[in-house]
Amino acid sequence: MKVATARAIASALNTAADRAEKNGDADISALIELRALADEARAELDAAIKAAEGQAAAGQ
Amino acid sequence: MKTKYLMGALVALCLGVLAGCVSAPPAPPAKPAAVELASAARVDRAIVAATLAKVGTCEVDVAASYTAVVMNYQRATNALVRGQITVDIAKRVRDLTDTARADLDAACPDASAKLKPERLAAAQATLQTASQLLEKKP
Repeated sequence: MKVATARAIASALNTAADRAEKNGDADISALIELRALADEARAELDAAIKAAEGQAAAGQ
Repeated sequence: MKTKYLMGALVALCLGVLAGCVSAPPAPPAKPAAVELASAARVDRAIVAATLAKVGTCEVDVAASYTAVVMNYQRATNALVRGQITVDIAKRVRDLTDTARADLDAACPDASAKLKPERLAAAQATLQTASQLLEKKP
């Protein structure tokens, strides 16, 4: 495993632990984390679609 | 592309470790400790994700497909920003991935639920269709 990968995973663990702590959970839930990631990724795709549509409209 | 392969390898590695645990489990402790993790971190544009859902729950059955949901959204975003796919294709990938996600949520609403295999299969088929759209770059 590359050092950068290990650091990225460690960072992700911290993020997941922070989220669980904030929610008052003793355990990290894989499903909750995956759903949060999916929400974030979908929002980014929506933003990219809107930006692309805006560019297309401006070019017409 | 390297990111995709890294992601796949990492998930495969995690699942491989989990599979190893399933095939040769250690002596069960009196009170098993929860071992669950799913998260991701970003380094520049590279994305690394790992999943270590609790073995013996439906979480572990849907974890790989749920990771594919996240990757589909991210791949579509990257491809659209780079001009490799059209807005229409990006929207189709998004809508198909939304459908797959709904099936995954129904397949495993929470870790204590029993897996609904037919919903997982439906999600995987839809994810495959969405992935095929992403492969059709001009």
